[in-house]
Amino acid sequence: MSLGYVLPESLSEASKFLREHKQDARIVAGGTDVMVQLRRGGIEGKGGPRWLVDITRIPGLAYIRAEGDVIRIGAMTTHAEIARSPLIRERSPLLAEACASIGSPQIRARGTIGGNIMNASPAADSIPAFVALSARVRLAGPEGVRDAAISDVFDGPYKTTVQPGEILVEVHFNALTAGWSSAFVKLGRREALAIARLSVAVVVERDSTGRVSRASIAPGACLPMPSRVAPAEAIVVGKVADEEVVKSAAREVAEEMVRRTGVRWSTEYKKPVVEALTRRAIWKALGVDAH
Amino acid sequence: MGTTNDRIVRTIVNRPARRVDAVEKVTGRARFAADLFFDGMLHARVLRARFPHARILSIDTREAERVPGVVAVVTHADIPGARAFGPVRQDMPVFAFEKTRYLGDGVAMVVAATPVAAERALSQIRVEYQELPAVFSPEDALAKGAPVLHEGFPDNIVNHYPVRKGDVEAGFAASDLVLEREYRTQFVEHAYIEPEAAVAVPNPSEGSVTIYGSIQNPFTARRVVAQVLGVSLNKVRVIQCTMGGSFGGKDDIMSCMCARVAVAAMKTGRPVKMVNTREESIVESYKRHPYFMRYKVGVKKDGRLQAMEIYILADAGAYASMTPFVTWRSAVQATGPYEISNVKTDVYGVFTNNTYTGAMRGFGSPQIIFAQESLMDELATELGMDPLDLRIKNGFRKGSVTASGQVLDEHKVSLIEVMEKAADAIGYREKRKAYPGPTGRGSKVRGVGLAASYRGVSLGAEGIDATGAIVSVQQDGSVYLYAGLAENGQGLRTIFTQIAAEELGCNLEDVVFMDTDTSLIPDGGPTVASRSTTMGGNAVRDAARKVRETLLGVAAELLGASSGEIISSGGKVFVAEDPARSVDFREVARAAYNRGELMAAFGWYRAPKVSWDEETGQGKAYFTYVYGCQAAEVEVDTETGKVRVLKVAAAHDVGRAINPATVEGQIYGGVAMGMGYGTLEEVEMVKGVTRTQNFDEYLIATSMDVPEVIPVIVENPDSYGPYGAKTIGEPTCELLAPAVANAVYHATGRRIRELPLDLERVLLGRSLKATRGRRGSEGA
Amino acid sequence: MKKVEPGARTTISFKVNGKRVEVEASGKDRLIDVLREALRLTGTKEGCGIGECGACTVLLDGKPVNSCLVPAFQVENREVETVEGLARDGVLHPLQEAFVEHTAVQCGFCTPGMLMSALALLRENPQPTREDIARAISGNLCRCTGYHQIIAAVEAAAKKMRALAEGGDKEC
Repeated sequence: MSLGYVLPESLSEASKFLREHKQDARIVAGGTDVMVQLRRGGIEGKGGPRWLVDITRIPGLAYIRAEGDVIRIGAMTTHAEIARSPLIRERSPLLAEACASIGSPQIRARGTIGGNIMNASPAADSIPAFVALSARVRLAGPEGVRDAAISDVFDGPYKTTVQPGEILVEVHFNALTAGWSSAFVKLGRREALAIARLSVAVVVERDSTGRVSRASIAPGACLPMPSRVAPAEAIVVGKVADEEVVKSAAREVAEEMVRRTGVRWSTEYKKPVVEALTRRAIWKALGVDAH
Repeated sequence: MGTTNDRIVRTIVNRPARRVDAVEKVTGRARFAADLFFDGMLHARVLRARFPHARILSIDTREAERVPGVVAVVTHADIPGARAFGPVRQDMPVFAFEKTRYLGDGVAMVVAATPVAAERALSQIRVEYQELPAVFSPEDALAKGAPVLHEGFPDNIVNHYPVRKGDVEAGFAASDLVLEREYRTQFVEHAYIEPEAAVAVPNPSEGSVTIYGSIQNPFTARRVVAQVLGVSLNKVRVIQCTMGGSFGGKDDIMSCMCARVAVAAMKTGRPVKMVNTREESIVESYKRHPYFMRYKVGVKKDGRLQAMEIYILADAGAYASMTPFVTWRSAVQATGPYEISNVKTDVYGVFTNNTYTGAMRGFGSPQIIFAQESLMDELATELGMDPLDLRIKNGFRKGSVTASGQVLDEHKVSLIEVMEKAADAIGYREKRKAYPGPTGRGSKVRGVGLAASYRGVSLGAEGIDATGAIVSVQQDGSVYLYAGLAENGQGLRTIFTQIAAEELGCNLEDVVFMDTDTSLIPDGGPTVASRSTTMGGNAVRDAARKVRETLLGVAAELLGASSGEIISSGGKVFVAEDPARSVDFREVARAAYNRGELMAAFGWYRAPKVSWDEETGQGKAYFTYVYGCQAAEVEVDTETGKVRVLKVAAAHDVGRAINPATVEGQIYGGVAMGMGYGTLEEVEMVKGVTRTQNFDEYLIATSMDVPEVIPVIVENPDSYGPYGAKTIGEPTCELLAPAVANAVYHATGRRIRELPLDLERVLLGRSLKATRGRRGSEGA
Repeated sequence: MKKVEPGARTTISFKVNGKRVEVEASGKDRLIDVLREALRLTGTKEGCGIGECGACTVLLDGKPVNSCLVPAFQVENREVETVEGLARDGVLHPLQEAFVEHTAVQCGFCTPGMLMSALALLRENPQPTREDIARAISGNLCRCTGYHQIIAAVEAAAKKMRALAEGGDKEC
């Protein structure tokens, strides 16, 4: 079995082909995940796709723009473009940091945000940031366009709820405005080319008195499905953050991880460390150097 | 030979020089083995074992042979000569016959018009196995009733080296403190960035074959190929291509790959090329040995070492390979560079069904230095002494006697000097006091630590130690240089070219270093053991001096002076007392040619005599030693276990730096590799299965991980080395892991006795497996 | 919609080092295969096949990419730069010069990819700090050098290129 290749020039062409070929077709854009997976299936790609559907010729999928308070990022936008976008750096800095931490310059120059989401790796760097931002994705399919909350896209590690023929075209979220701040903290084994051992994305809003009015905490590489940790957020909201508050919120994230994953071989390490990283991320979001 | 030339200021050696191979490498013109294409060339892919230990009942290649594009399928049945090879024991099959002993064993090979066709056919080969019980650790392999890998080795012991000096029991009895500790190290991959590659081109009319490849030791490859083909050595010509790194790693595996493509080329009558994928490379190629080490040390209250007892198990994996030599070096150096009157060392190499282990930069030293230098710090802590002071108190000095009874009196014993210099460069004493240690506040804490070593130069009592070179001056003054040792990327061509140019007095640019070709130069042994500069450098010098004598004789006539008055330097030949009376080097060459002089010479150098008693482990193990010390400053995140190596001072006595720029390059590179060994690198092998098969899981340092490095080149010229030069390649790579472990202890109070010091070991004190992330697919 | 059936081959056309080329490729071919096998531009090396080592780095429309992760059909009508295009008329590029001068080359296998990453950096940022340089080459693994002399070489090349640019020479 060999690999066929199509280069649709419109979303509807792509969508039609994908629906016709279902599991036999795989979207490729930057190739930073797909090409690796193809290799791992062997040149013959047993059980792998028969077709690569290259969406890079479809116009209008690479953009970063603000519409009022909503920031829209086209699926074909690369990690490098997001990391250096003045708009993202100013109005959702945690996403810029997350994208800047991905792989290497070569990977960031090619890998797309749509690919990072749709690959659905638990260790994906951009996903916790999007989850913390309560981002929504836009999917174009044979029946038209639909929006979904980012956390509804995932159906387990490397699995999504996206239907055959649907293509992720955009991710959007509310920009951080006055009173909001954010942080992304990642722990890798190396300083580059590092897959997240653990990561935490935090977004907080404080009112004029300094009290946390809203909070969003999303850990990465430790939950079966990316999501916010509501019980931890609840601890912070309504309070002026102090050591005790931050500590117990962080502890709650660690405990939530164990509740959701059970005790695994890695829990002994991950539990204390996700707690520490969460604590750091909250302080960093609040503009306090934790060390 | 002691002419005027020896007394003059040197113009080329002991100075930085451009690498002679740099331009071809920066332009992309350098030809690596995978870059070669020949007309009618076929491509080979290997089918590897399905079980780490199994009997092969049958191999059916008929289906595979029918796959379009396939020209032949090769198995052990196609081998005309020896079916197995090995440097010490011929126990490693070219293609597995009778049994498989690890998952990297090649069972069959498809030769096809394209790599894709070859790969496609692999899955069509039917192999019937009878799985056998397997064993995956030396401890288990030594147990009663353990599965036996090789006939004739019922206890799975590859070799045992004892060292016996004095009476350890008496030494312990006389000690005020006795400490017992256990240390473990991991499987490590060479991770040369170029995967293995070779091309065999048959010459049917002569019944001979020419092999091009990424081959560390062309003469070793030639011997193996000749044995496997059942032909004489002169029917096999091995030409070394530009090497994309080796670090000891492209030896046995390349002999095997060369033999495989040679068999296929002879069978098909066409050129056959094989290039490993990274995954194949990591699965099949040998690793650095994991060691289990138990040290018992006795010491007086004042810090004087009294006795040391050492028990080491080295995991040899499936085949003997270099294990006997690697473990021998460990046995010689296991006590470290310290005077101890009573020593009892036992080092065992043990067969298992893991990937076989062999030569890697350091060659049996990184493991024992990790243990012994961690132990010195542990001992210092127990004694309430500073670790550096403890080392100075016991360290080798002129006239010290090693564990094998060798008196160190033929070279400058510079241990204390390198330790002081490394310590000063990093501010060791100040930082030991300044950093608060585990009591400090905050989650990021700093510490400093160091490690020191002595290292025997070249092969020592391991084996035959001699090598040659040819210097051939042409009538226009340009020069061919041939050497029996080979460029591995380390800079050998440049060093040898510098020495040839220095001795002849021509310019560096006039010398061309020819590709190492087994048909042009006698077997000069392997390019290993950091022996190139010392051994090969002497051979080049010998050859160049012989030619120079001839040329000076001719010049003397041209200048009307006696040859003793003449100097050849920088492309000019002139009268020492009256430099205006000079003639161009080229002129001299032309004149010599016109007179029918012999303008080429063969140089040879044989290492000074060494000795070893196998029973007692006593003797003059090496003819000289080098001394090194690396000091590291680290920052440890106590909440995540992350260790960042911030700064390293590396002081190495190299005897004489022929080229300080390439010496620094060796230091920077060795420090990075040593840091990887200490903090990042581990080939995870689970029941014989290599789980870290590519660079997303086998982590080597990136440009953002390497520390600031202060190279300190110490020069104490050695009486044996050319210009006093000794060695640098390996010592740079053997010290950083314990220096980091000691610095981590200083910072945190946590003593990690197992490598690498990764996140989990530093935080929890032990390893958690299956902790990797993979690019692209299933992971996390 | 361009469609290449499984197993079929078709011609693609793109620019390499300023020259337009046409080669045949199939759906599973990667840019590196086309460069090395079809065009015999063997300066670009393959070290891992999964975009981790950077030995295969080339510039695609000026951006550094791992050519082992680029499907061949994606480069149609685009511009690829490889190490072979660096020297002009036998004159080394300042980066190449600096690599030679600073002993930034040992085995040389990572060198072509390293040079291409450095080139991408210097075009974007003519005055990089050492940290910028380390980050720019962080996707290029080197096992020999420990990176120090490479970083020094890129720094020196940047300086030289700035001097050349000030001297009115807009090439490089």
